[in-house]
Parts: sequence; C-alpha cells; structure tokens
Amino acid sequence: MDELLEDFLVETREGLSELDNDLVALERNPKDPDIISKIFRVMHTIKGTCGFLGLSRLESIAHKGEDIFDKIRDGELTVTPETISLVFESLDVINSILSHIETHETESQGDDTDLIARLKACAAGGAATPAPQAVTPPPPSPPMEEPVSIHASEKNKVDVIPQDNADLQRIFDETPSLVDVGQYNAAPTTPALTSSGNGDNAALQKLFDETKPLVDMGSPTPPTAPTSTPSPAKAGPAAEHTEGDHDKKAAAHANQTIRVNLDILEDLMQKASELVLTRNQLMQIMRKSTDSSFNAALQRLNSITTELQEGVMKTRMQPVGNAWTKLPRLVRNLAVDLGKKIELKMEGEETELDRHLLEQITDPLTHMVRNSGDHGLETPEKRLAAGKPETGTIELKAYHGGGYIIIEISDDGNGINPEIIRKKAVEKKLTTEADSLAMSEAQILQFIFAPGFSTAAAITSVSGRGVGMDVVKNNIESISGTVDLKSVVGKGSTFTIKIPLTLAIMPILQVASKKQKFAIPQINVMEIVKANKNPAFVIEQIHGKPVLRLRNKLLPLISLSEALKTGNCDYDNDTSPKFVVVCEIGTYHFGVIVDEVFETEEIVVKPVSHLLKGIDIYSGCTILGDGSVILILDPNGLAKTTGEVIAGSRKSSHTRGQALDTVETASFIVFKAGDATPKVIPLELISRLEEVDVSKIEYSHGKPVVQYRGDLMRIVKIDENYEIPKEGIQEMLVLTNNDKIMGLVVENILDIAKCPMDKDLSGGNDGFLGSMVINGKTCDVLDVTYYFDRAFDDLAQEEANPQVSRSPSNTLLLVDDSPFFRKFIPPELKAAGYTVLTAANGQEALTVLGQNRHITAVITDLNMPGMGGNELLAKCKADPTLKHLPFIALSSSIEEDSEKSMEDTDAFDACVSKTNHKALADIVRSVLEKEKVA
Amino acid sequence: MTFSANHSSVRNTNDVRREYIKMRLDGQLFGMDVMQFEDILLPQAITPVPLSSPKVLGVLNLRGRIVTAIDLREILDIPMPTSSADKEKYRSVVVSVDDELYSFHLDQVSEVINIAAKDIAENPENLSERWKDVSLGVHTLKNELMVILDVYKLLGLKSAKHEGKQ
Repeated sequence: MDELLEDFLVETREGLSELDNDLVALERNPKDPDIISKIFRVMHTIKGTCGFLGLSRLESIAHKGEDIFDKIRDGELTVTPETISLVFESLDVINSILSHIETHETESQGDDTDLIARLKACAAGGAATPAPQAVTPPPPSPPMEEPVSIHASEKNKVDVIPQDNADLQRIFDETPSLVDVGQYNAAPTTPALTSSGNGDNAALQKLFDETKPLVDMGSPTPPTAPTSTPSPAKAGPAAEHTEGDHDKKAAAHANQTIRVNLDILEDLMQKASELVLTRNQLMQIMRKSTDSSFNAALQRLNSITTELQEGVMKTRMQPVGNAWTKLPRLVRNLAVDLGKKIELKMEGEETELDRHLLEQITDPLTHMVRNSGDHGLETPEKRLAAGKPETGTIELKAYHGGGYIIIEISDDGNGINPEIIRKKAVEKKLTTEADSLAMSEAQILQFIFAPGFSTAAAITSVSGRGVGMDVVKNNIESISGTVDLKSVVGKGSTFTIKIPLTLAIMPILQVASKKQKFAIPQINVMEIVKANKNPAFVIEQIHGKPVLRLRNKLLPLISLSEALKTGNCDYDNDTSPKFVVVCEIGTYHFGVIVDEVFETEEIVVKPVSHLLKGIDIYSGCTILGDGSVILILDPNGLAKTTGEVIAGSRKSSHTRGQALDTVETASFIVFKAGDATPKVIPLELISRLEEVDVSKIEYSHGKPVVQYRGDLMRIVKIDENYEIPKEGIQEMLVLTNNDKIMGLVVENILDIAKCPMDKDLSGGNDGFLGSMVINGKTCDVLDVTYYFDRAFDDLAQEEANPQVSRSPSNTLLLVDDSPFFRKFIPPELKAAGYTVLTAANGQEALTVLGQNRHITAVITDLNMPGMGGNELLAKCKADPTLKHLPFIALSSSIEEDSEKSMEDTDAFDACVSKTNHKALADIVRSVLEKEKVA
Repeated sequence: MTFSANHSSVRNTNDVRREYIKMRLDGQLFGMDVMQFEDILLPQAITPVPLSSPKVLGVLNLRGRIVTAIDLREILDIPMPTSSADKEKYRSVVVSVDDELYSFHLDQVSEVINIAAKDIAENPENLSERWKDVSLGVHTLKNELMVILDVYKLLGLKSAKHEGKQ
C-alpha cells in the first residue's frame, strides 16, 4: 500500500482510539475545556488529512464532527449523551470506511446524508433533536470485536464533496503550501485550484483528482497521473505540514521514531535469542577451561549479549493499556444497552508486555470485561436492594509478579453461584450429579471454562453468542498463560490471568521415554520424583490408571510412552526405575512417567511445520547444543490425553493465591536431618535430589565420596552422628559450586514450601543462617557455604578464587532491606574471596561507606524503605570521594526483565537478579576488573 | 491437447518453461519443481515424531532450521529396500514450502532440467490413485518417463500460493 496512505491509516486509527476514551471522559466531565479542545484537534487533523488525501467521504463526516466540537468549545453547545452517541456513531462510520481503505485503498461507497444531516442539525440546533437512530447507540460489536461495517452495503455514493466556500478556501490554502514543501512543480495544479473557487463540482472533482497524485508520492511505482514524481523523501514532511501548526510537536517527535516492519523485529528477536544461547554454551565451555586469555573478551560478550537481548526485547514491548483502549467505550455502551451503571477502573496500563502476547490477550480481555458487565454486575435497583452503591465497578489491574505479567479483571457484582454452575454442568452432561456433589467449590467454578458452557440464563445481545470462556482459556493457554477464577457470591468475582513476559527463550527440562529425548517447559514442572525402586513412591493403579501417593495426595499419572503411543507401561512387572515429573497447569497437578531425566537447558522455541501442528501434545521443537532436534511437549496437550483437565485441588489454588499477594517469595526444600527441627535450603541452591546406592559410596582421604556423572561428589553429613545405612539407598541433596559437587546427606525430604522473603532470620551459628517460620513451623536455614567449606577444607587454599585474594581491597557493601538476603548473599560472596559489609537501607549504607573507605563496590537492592537504590547511587555519584565506586543493582525476581527496572538500572554498572545468586560473584569480579582497566 | 481442470496449474501456461529436479526412487524417474528447492543432504540423524502421520519420518536440523522429513515411499506405496546397506544410501532433497522446510528421501538426485508446460502430458488413466493424487503429469523423455510431483499435494497442503504463481 502507498506509504503515505498507510501512515494516515495508522495515525487516524491512533487518533480514533484516543477519541473513544476522550468522549467517554467528556460525557463524565462535559465542561472540561482540555478534553474538548483535544477532541476538536483530533477531528480537525482527521478532516485536514482526509481532504488532502482526497478521501471526501471521510472528510465530510469529520468536518461536521469538528463543527460540533467547535461550537462546544465556544460554549454555544452543551454536551449531552445524545451528542456523544451521535459522535460515536460517526466514529463507527469513519472506522468502517478506514477498514475499507485498508483493504481496497479506496473509500467504500455509502450514503452518509442522513448522518451528516443529523450532525449538522446537532451543530446548528444546539439542543439537538436527533433522528431516532441517533438515540440508540451503535449496534453492539460482536464478542470478538470484528470491525463493524455500517452502511457499507448501500448502493449509491452521494456526491459529498464539500459545497461551501469556506471548505474550498481551506483546501486551497492547504494545497499550495504542500506543493511548496514537497518542491512539487506547482504549475499544472495551481490553475485548477484557482478556477475551483467558484464551487463548480466538476472543477472540484478535477482538483481532487489532481491532488491525489500527492498521495502516491511515497509509493515506489509512479502514479498514473502524468505529473512529475517528486522524491519520496519529501512526502513525509508534506503530510505533516497539513496537520497544522498544533502538531508541530508531534512532527518533531515523529522525526525521532521510525516505523519498522514487524518481521524485521521478529527476526532480530530470534537472532538475539540464538546469540544468547550460543553465549550460554560458550560460557559453559569456558567455565571448565583455565585459559584466562579469553575471559575478558568473554565477559564483554556476555554483557553485550545481555544488553542486546534486553534492547531487542524493549522494541517489542508495548504497554498493556494498548489492549485496553477500546474498553472504556465498550463499557459505556454496555451500560447504556443494559441499563446499568458501570464504572471502569484501570490500573497499571503502563505495564509492558511483548506485543505478540498483547495481541493474544486483547480479545480475551474484551470478552471478560463484557462478561463482567453483562453477567457479573446487577441492575441499579438490585444493587441498591443489596445495599451496594448504585454504580457497579469493573476493575482492571496489570502488574509484574514473579517473572509474569498478571492481569486481574474484577467486578463487585453478584459473584458466581457455584450451585447454579453445578446444576448447569450436570444438565450439560459435563459431569454427573454424584461426582459434582463431591467437588469443591473451586473445582465447580472451573466448569465455566468448559466448552459449550454459558451461564447467562437468557442470551443477551451482549454476551452469550457461543463464544465462551473456553475460547478465552484456550487463547491464554496458547501463549503459555493461565487463567484463574475466584468468586464470592454477592461480593463479586475476580479473574486472574498470568502470562509470561516473553516466549522467546524458555527453560526446559529434558526427559527421555523409550530412549527418545523430549523437552518439558520448566515453567510447568513442579518437582521430579523417582518412583518404583523407591519403596516410598510406588506407582499404583486404579482400574488401569496409574496414580502416585505424594505427600498424602493422589496424583494422577500419565505415561509418556503411552501418551505418545510408543510403548506400554507395565507397572506391575516393570522394575526399571521410573521418574515422575510433576507438572502444574493452573491448579491442576499431574505426573508424567518417563524413563530418564536429564539436565535443564535454555532453548529457543521453533515452531513445527504445518504437517505436525495438529498434534496437541507438542508445542514446538528446538535444536540442542549438540545439534540434535528435540520435541517440546505441551503439558496442556499431555493433560488432555488423560481426558480430564478440569479438576483442580483446592489447596493448591490457595497457595497460588498467596504467592501472588506476597512481594518476594522463595521456595525452600524442607527436610529432616539431625534433631527434630526441620531444616530448609532455598530450592534454587539445589541442583538435584539424588538417591545414592550406599554400596557405591567410596572413601577418599577418609572422607565419603561417590562417583557422580563422571565427577567425584563429596558427601557431607549435616548431623555428624547420623549413620548412613549399610545397604539400600540414601537421599542426598546435590549442590554445586563452580566445579565442586557436594552431596548433603538428609534423612527424609519432607516438602517443598513457598515462603515470603521479608522474614527476619533469628539466631544463627556455624552451619546455620538462623531460623525462620515456614508454614507455621520453625525451620533452621542451612548455611550452604559452611558445608562446602567443610567438604572441601583440604582445597580451601587454592579454592578461594585464584583471581581474587582475600584482602581489604576486596570489601563489598551489600545494601538490602530484606534481612534474609543480607544473610543469604554474603556467604556466596565470601566464598569467592570477598569481605562483605551489609546495610539495611540507603541511609545506613552512606554511614557505612563513610566509616569504611576501603569498600571497592556496592551491591544494592532497588526498592527499600527510606532511601532506595537509585537515590543512594545518585548521592554517591554526587560525592567526589565516592563517585568512583562501581554499583551493582540487585533486582528482585518480581521486577526482573521489566522495562521499568531496566530503566531504573541504567545508571548502574551491572544488574543482577537476586535469584541468580550464582552469577553475582562473577559479575562483581567483572565489574571490578573493568574498574581496574578504567 | 485438452486439460482436466484440476491439473491446470502447470499446463495453463503452455510455452512457459520451468525447471525441474531430476531424481530417482526405486528405479522410477521423478521431477520436482525447482522453485522450492533448497538443498540436497546426505543421510543424517532424524528425530522421530510420535503420533504424527505415517508419511512423516521425523524432524532434522539443517543449519539451525527445522526440516520435516517426509517418507516418499510411504506416500507412493514403494516398499523399503530389503538390504540395510541400501536403506542407508539415500539422498534428501530439501524444499521450502510456505517458509517451512521439508525433505524427501530419494535414491539419486541428478540434475535440473528445463521442461515446457506443453511437454507435460496428463497422467495416464490407469495410474494408481495414490500416484494420481500427487502427480501433475508425465514428461516423456527419449527412453524414459518422468513423473512430475506436486510438492503441495505430497504434503497434503493447500496450494493457494502455488496457484497464485501462475
């Protein structure tokens, strides 16, 4: 399409979507001069551009709209709901004409005389007496927001070229200036313009015809009109000029942005992701190598790659608000249609999301908001009777949480009655009466996501067109998201959508079934249980269906080989070891039986070809480091093979809710070792849980070791008095630090628990950081570095990082308000040879810095009560004695990857996520080295 | 010459010459439109895809891109060679269809030849249905017949783009 026309369409669409919201705002504040003049400006711009492009139909409508707002601005007209409705109606017509232009590059034919007459009457009459149609709002759009085409089928195009002289004068005035700007040879056009002053239609038509080539200036193929073609570069400024002086700012802004084809961005993104993976491979190789000549270059490559990837990610990020722009108008129309009073509150519009994901959630969001308005909220009478305010509220909230974007849609309506849902589910044969009675409320509510389920008793024009929540759920799941529902009868309901920040890079777990490797997205993997050989975990069967008893719950199992039809599982006679990968989809937990489990890897998802798209069980494939292709399993598809996805457990949905509410949480593995107090270690420190055959334990220098994956793993007992059994198996936590592997002997693994990180750690001595309360029980937090030191005491000398010797010049200051992190991070750094001082906030940090002049770098959290990380940085940079200090930002996992945090950490020398504690020492070293060079 | 409607894509443009890759499977000569040709591969590791249609052999890695390997023998109902040495002695022709890569195993891939559309005769009536489904016609060489294969039909994909090229 012609570039100029394309720009016009994009700009006009942007303008129109703003208008939608502004009009709704105007209806609420009919006197607000800012809104009125803003609307006037947008209308004026559309009109001006249309006239310039020869889009006469659009121009005449926009012109009349402008007239109305001109009068409103001058105070000659007051805003009434009828006026707003009428303007909305004209916007719909404009939109439908735009859609036509988009596909056909010409205006659609249609009769607007009625609309124009009414607009005219409205502008002229002040107290407008609009035609009956004007009172009824535009037909409600279909559920999935297809563009509404109005009047499109009407037969005759009426001559809508403006008739009055003022218009002509304006066209006349604008065109020559354009011609000048474009250095267009004005000679052939000007006579036509001059002669057109008499209002003669033929001459006017001629004028439009001749102006039109201007439109085509940007197009690579010369226009049909035999005029000279000026250079395309001039087209841009020419177009902007017509928009008038008031848009000079916008024009200046436009010069700093360019439109880039999405395919190019998509390709860049892909390349950047591949680069990240290559970097990861390289780093892995280098970690084993002792050749330090590569180190500096590699660190540089490392940081540049990260920056590049973040930069490319940024180009694709768009605020969630873009998906919401249509909602205020939608809600307004809903309110008019249904005779309800609805207020729409939006929060967190600026939260950014990959644009592909944004597109995917726009329709589901629209649908859910419509549902809330239609089914959720009650009529004003009912609300008053129930003692609620007359106006119902729909609230949209978007925020970052734990590496996800979370969007909540809540209403303060009637809630969802589980009893009605239950009856309906039975009626629709989705379950049986007996089964349904045994279900929990949460489980029953899940039925609204089942295909073909609609709760509205009557199908209204607004909802219930056969597009149900199942489509919403599918859309969200197709982008690896989840949707959850909470509802309280009489109080309202809340839908929570959780989607990943980006789909480009994904950590996966490699498993094998019948000797073939597959990948399971790590996001769905909860834990891995070794079954069969282990008397604690036996795969049992109920009527041929495998289940596993896991911490007093029955976990439904799927055999991967059976799901893939590559072989049968004989649970009774098969004594080969099996692994159960416990997966989570929303609130549904299930286990996948596999033969082998390998390491995790970060991969770039590649789509499968069309021939394989139909197979639910795969979400894509990828190429591993060794060049082999591996298929990625889709846990949703796997769960479907069990036939039942709907059931959910109440407890898990409860803990999920908790996790969303708290700011910083971490998972801990809870186990028993030594005395009765449960011991915990943050889950992320643990590489694997292993069961070691005690007969394999050997002794080296009197210390127990075991051969483990080609390496020697040193075995450490937490409780020295504990005796490893003479035969059978021994459970161990495998921890790694650089090249050192340690097996921590535990008596019994009890649980994996999530716990907020804001708790204080009390006490603490050798081997223990202190105690904290997890799920109501006091637990001892183990100091992992202590046990590493114990296991590798003979290596202690050379172990202390060869590049950094312990000296006062390697003193770091860690600033974090969370007492947990203040205890948790220093041991990691101490192990790398640094001395670590701590401070709880910026103020305290400044004091410490004042007293300790030998501090070489500051590692700081960003969000702290009192003085935050950024303020601290600014204060230090302003102080000549401190400004040389390198700063490393410590982002909490919550803000990780968010654009906001990227901006926040711009000024820092490096940024590392709290959860990526292993990288911290590396980053500190590279920052210090850089500092030395500089 | 008369043409049946459903096989119009090649023969509509009577004098237009197009290039075809000459290849051989189980003694039979085949031609495939060169427009979609990407590469020729030696035997390499293929990851099988459980649950896929029997004509899919699996997926493989071609310089970082994913190729879906198609079993031409399965489609054309040609049995696997009996000796295992022959099984390993194939070449794969990689073609790009709507930006996706597919590979076909063949015994031999020789050259690219130029054929005018008018020189492609209609499929003989007695050709097996399976072959008729994927063949656009037959080109007569001096002492041999070459069956022209339609990639879209082999893959069972809609050939909207393909038709559009005509």
